[in-house]
Amino acid sequence: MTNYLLHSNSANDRVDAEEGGHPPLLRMRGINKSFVGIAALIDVNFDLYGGQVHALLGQNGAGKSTLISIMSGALQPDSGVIELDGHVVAFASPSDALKNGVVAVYQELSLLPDMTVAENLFVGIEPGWGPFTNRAEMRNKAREILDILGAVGIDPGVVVGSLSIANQQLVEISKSLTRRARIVILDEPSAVLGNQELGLLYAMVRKLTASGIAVVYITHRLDEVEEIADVVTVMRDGLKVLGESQSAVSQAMMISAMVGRELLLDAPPKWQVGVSQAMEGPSLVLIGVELPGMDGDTMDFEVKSGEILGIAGLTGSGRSRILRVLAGLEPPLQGKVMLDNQEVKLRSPRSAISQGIVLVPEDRKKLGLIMNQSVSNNTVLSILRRLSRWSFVSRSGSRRHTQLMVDKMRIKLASLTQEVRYLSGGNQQKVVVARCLGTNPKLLLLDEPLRGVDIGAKSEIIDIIGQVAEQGTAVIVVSSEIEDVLALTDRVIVVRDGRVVKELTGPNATESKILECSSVRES
Amino acid sequence: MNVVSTRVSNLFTNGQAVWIIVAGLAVTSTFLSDTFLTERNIPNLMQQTIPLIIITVGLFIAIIAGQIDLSVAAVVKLTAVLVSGIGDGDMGKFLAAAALAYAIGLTVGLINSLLVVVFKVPAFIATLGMFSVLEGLVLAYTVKGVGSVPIPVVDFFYNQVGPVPQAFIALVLVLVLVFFWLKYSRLALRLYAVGGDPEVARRSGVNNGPVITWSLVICSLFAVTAGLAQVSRAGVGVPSTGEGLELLAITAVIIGGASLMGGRGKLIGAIGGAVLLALIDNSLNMIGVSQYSQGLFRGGIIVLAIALFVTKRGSRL
Repeated sequence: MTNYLLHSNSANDRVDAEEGGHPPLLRMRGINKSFVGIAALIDVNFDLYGGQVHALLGQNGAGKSTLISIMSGALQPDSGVIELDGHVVAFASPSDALKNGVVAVYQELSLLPDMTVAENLFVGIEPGWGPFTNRAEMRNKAREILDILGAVGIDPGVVVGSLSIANQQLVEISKSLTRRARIVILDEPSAVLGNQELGLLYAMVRKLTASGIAVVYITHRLDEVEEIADVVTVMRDGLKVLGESQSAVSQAMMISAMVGRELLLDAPPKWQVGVSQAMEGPSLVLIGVELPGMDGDTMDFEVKSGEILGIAGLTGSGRSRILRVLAGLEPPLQGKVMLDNQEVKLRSPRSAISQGIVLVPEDRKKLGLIMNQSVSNNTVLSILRRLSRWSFVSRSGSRRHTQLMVDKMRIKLASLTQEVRYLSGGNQQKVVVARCLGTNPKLLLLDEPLRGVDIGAKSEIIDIIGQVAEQGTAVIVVSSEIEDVLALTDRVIVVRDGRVVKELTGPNATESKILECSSVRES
Repeated sequence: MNVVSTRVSNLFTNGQAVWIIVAGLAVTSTFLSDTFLTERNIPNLMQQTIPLIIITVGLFIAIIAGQIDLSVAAVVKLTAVLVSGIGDGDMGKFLAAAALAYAIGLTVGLINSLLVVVFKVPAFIATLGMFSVLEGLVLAYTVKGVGSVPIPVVDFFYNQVGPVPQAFIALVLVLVLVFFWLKYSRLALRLYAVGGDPEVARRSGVNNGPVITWSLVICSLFAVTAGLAQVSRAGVGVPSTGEGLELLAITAVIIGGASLMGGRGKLIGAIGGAVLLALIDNSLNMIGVSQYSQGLFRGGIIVLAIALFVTKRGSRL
């Protein structure tokens, strides 16, 4: 086994030295984890003390999720030691970790929407006698826990599905208390919350730590770190690059730790499309568009035909929401969308497509493709009408169209009738793009176009998007990977809380600048 | 508008909507037919309803746990021919055969859940297979009516206390127990949890396997009971006993507001569904709708009822 002392880096060492006094509740040493040869965690040390909020920061793919998955038993490390209270432990499963008091609260909530708050808090550990539960006791205990955590507005008798997302999250955190949690992991809890609810969340977290519980708090918002955290760990490219007490770090330090490239290990090569030429006149203009659930803030921006616009922002900032609105998936609360100087009404994806707007969705497996159908069927799905005569789809026509697209995009496949689920992620993504381009869009929307795509296909997709823009289509790219946004786009707007907070072009558009604009809430 | 539609769909999921329809239909039938609200018809209607209600309760429990049991009608059939054939009018033999039927029901439930829990066969397929096997067993045993049910048993089923058949009183007592059990037992709470989201239940510390096993075993045992009720009503066990009961019972559970995906539903609604289905048939007869066009009305009423109460928001079947 690797001796962690020999390999530990400076950030790992610092925390060791700092907390020499009492032993940590959870101690992780020399944790390594890789997926099919790609290192997700490299020799990471992590200490967690009872009563502290430990903020975990890092960009997507930095290794945060892998680390908490290991902590909560969802993944097992390739090597390394985990100690709980000084005893070596190995969590085989989430329920195993749960028994040891480690509870993870993920963004996709794990509550039973048709059951009451009290039932959700105690399911599996119902108070009662023999085969019977004690409903009254269950309700009273639930009330007690909700009161302790400051969620006084939540009625334990109410069905969870009828609560707001924010309140559901509070219930979920309360649930961890009924499981005798000693370590609570909160995965971006603030992403779904508004400003008011944020206060409740912070109060709840402080109550948890006051009772001696250790909290791991994942966030992208740097202002939150100052508000709530005692200790900060920053991850980058699978390494722990910063581990300090909160008072010792500044926002600038955190940003440079998240972005910094002094440890270029397996950093992917950077591409830059030659900046395409924006053509005459605006193609798409948004005027005062209010997104659902954004407290009245509105969005204005424009994209010229032939231009590639990047939208950056955190989860919940409205960056994907705006694409959904433009693609006709949900209506805006107010505002106008103009395309080629004409106002467009976007009632449904079908109406958006017929007006020249098409979306390459974020989750290609669920929303972009019909996985168990052929490449050919998927490619022609949006243009069946064009390929049909007397409402019969021309087989030769769709074959010709698919072959054309396959050649153009260099999709690697066995045959046109191969089911798309057998293709690689990159080739699947190309099929989605091919389907969308078949509609001859005036505006192409891409949500996370490079996610789960191998490096080779990545550069090809970037090329294709560049070509599409050159032919005069306006393109909007949204990605949580700032690097991808920069590689793809000519101009970047940063959104936060449903409005545009910054526009960056050329040399000004840098990773750290974007990160700063999106993650710091100005006071 | 949204408030109204949410409230209406709450009525549905609470299992109240179906009782409103039952009341409406009963009132309508009283006006349209002289023979509906009579001393002869009402006890008769109650007797007709008993087997369907029993089987519906069993299926309700399976459906809440996210399962389905298509073998229930075959269990009814097997029970009917066994107790009638083996018992052949003798009380002692009848009771022994009834005990055998419960043992078979237990076995059927255990095999169903073995397939579902251990071999991960979807309940739909596992119980469909079980249905075929049991049908085959029945036809191997007899292809026509066989034996008879002891007179005291038939009497118990038909004798009335005032206008209410004794068997109906027994049913109500059982239903009260089931209500109590659903409200206060640990297992019932876990049925809802496992049916709602098995992964969440597992992570909350529920051992899902036994919960699913219990739901399918209980369902089978209710099916045996329904078989006993059905054969007592008929007096003799024939291989056609209980035909189509599983689809009727599933329909009853669904129009009672439960989710076919599991995890949501009220027993009172499912019972209302069973009562509604029996009432529709009875009313159409009493009003004098021809046997041939009854299907049209029956289907129409069911579809209308669901379309009326299931709104887009908030409800899923």
